[in-house]
Amino acid sequence: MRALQTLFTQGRIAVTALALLLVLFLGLNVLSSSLLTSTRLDLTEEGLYSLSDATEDLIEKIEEPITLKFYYSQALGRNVPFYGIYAGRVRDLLGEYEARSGGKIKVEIYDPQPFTELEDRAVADGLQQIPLQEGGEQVFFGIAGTNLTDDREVIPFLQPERETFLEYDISRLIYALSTTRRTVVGIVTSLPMDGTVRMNAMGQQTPIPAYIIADQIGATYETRYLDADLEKVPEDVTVLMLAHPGELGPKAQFAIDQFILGGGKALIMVDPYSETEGGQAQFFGRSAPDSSDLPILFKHWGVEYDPTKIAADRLTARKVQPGQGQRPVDYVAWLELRGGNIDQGSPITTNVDTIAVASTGHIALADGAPVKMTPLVSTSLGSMELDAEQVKGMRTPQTLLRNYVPGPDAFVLAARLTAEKITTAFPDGPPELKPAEGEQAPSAEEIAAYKAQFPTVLTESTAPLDVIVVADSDILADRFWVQVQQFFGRRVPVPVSGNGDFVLNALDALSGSSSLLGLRGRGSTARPFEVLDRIQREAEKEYAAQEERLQKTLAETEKRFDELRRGMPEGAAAIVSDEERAEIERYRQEILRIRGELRAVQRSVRENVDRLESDLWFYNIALVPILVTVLALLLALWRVISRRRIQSQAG
Amino acid sequence: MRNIGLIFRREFGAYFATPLAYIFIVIFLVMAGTLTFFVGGFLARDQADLRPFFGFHPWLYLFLVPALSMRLWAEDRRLGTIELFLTLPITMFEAVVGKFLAAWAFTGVALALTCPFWISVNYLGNPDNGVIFASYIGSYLMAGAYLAIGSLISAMTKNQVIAFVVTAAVCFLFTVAGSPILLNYFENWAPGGLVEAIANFGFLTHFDAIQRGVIDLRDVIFFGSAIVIALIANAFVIDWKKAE
Repeated sequence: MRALQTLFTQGRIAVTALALLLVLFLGLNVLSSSLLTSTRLDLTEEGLYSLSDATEDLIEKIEEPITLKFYYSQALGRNVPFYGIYAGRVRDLLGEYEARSGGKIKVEIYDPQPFTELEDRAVADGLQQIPLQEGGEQVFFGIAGTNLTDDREVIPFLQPERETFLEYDISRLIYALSTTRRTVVGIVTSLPMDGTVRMNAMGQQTPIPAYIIADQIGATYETRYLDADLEKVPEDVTVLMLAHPGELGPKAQFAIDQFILGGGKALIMVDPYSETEGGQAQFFGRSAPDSSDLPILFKHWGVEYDPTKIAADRLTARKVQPGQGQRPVDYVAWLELRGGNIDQGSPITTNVDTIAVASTGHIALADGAPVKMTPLVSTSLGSMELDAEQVKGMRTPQTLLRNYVPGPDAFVLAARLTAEKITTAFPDGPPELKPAEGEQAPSAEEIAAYKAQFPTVLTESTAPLDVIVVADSDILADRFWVQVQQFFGRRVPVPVSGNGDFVLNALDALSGSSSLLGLRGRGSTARPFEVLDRIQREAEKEYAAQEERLQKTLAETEKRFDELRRGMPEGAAAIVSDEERAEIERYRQEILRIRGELRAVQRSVRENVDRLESDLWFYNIALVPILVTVLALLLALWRVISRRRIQSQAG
Repeated sequence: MRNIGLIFRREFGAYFATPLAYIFIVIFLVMAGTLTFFVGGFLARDQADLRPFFGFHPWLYLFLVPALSMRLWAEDRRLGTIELFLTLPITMFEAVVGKFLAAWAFTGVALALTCPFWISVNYLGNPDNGVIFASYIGSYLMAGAYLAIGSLISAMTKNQVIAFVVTAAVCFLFTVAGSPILLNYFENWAPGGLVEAIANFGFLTHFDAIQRGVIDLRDVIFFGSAIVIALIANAFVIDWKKAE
């Protein structure tokens, strides 16, 4: 009885102790998760989860207080725990901004409940409301920032897809709030960059959404779209962006010349073949020329650019599917440039890991050119020049690949041009105003009014020349660099290539606002299995000719077979002669044979990859277990032997 | 401290004297590899990282760690060797820690033997090795927490099968605490604060956080405190059972 009592008491103590330990565990972790916010070791290569130097610089430069309101409905995290984790990260990061800002950034956190004043305020702040289930509770997960002058910048909803860009998105918001006067970017383009409505071949109005890149430029800069036949660049424009400007006449080129001589900066994107314009032409009719050029200015600067030639590169070619059911092949006119093709020394490109271009031109510097050229993006050695006509209309990737002859050079696709001093390309002053076809010649007053816009015609630059020339405009088109996901009616861009970063970096560098430069390109690194890709490419190269020949023979045989069958009267199976039947049978056999051969070739292409894959399986799944088993057996054997020895010694 | 070392060496050596250790390692490696390649689509993803590989770790541990931990104390209790332990001039806690460290080091060996994966991704592409390193640390910490819980439960029973089943069940609860499987059950009636607290005690929640490549002190404290407190409880339980 006494023993039982002792046991009972002891048991009670033990249970109490265990309960206390559990409480200790819970308490310790609740405390640590609410008290500790930013003690962490960031092991990622790019330091993705630590504030970058660029952000710290940006925070330092803030002059007036900024308030960041973080709206997060806890119901969201409860229903989708993934969002709960992400929200925790956002909260930590905002806390870090606040802590580093020395009181200049104030973070407020709200949990808007349904049907409350707070919910209305969140909506008024521009946040996006998302229903948890269909017709269910509405939740918020976004950031609204304000400054003293009541400017407002918003991240309407924080998509987890953009988690690696979180710091950039927040810093961009702070940057927009902390700069009072926004730099004006003047854009001359024939592309539907800011969205448009076009009439298709059926006569229906088809809306074309604005380019993602135009949205992104608009988020940092004030944009102003200018006419292609502009007479003068407006005074407040700091950077001029020519994005496939179409055919610019002497008048517009003179305006650009004067703008640049006056210290204006320019991002010039010309293109021998705009895939966007060329492709659209099939559906909407031609609205602008395929190619663009800036002949007078380029000639004067010593920039060699041929609007009828494009640069092809076997090594950086992107894969396209030539037809339904066919294997993707390298399309040498569409390039994805990375690594050594991109200048790692320039702040414009150092954070950009890939740039996708399509039917791009190339530029070079003529002997004795008055400007200095620093290449930013180039093709690989062994590139080849193609006629622009070869890539227009139906795409023929196999033919281009078969006829590919590596040349000795690499081509420059984008470069920065600089010069301490430069003269005008129009030594005779403003060009004569020439009437367009079918229009009346300008009157004397019109000519006088035009000339009056240039009270002093600059003959020499007043500031150093700083221009970036890119020989492709498809770099801007969404389909080449970004996947756009629809999220409750809002477009969420998830970049697959660094084109956007490249263009924004170029504008930043030209406009002198470098605050965000160091932040771009972080976290967008795709890390493909390069070795598999290389092996596949090599095998394809080896078998390409053979495959194409077989495919051609197959198509011809099938055509003849069809013709033969069609030539026979319907339901005439009975009156087909034996010879004809034998002929048909022969073709059928032939087709089967060629198909078999084709499959064999395609198998050969896969062979090396398959071999590597099975090697990988072996090394990763079987090798170590086999070694461990062998080791275990050897050890067991050794034990048996040594036991025997001991026994025999003892015996 | 010296005593912990002594027990550690004795126990760790004992693992390799029986086929159990080798079977455990072989099963762990084969399953991890097979799941990564054939279920996780390692090659088809075409991404030089080890996400599919680490993604299966919690579920592998769920079955393999109880198999390792079930005999930690249950066997000693069944055979009565626990009495022997208690006659040695060492404290209960030293015995518990020594045995645990030996088992943890053993899982460390198994984990280290998965290095062909790390080598493979570096051969195939250009992975973020910092992220992989962090994931290994996270996986190892998580294995430690599973083991400590298993050790505690093993001390509560003489029957190894019961120890295995109960450990797997308890570990399953800890694993899914942060996922909708469990949260949906609580959500309808428990207050929001409690639900969030439960979510915060999920192994998956903390392991996922470390897998991004960031070792947050809170995650380390979570796994660390789970280990330490389970081991203290372990010592209590043995002390209590001794009286039976």
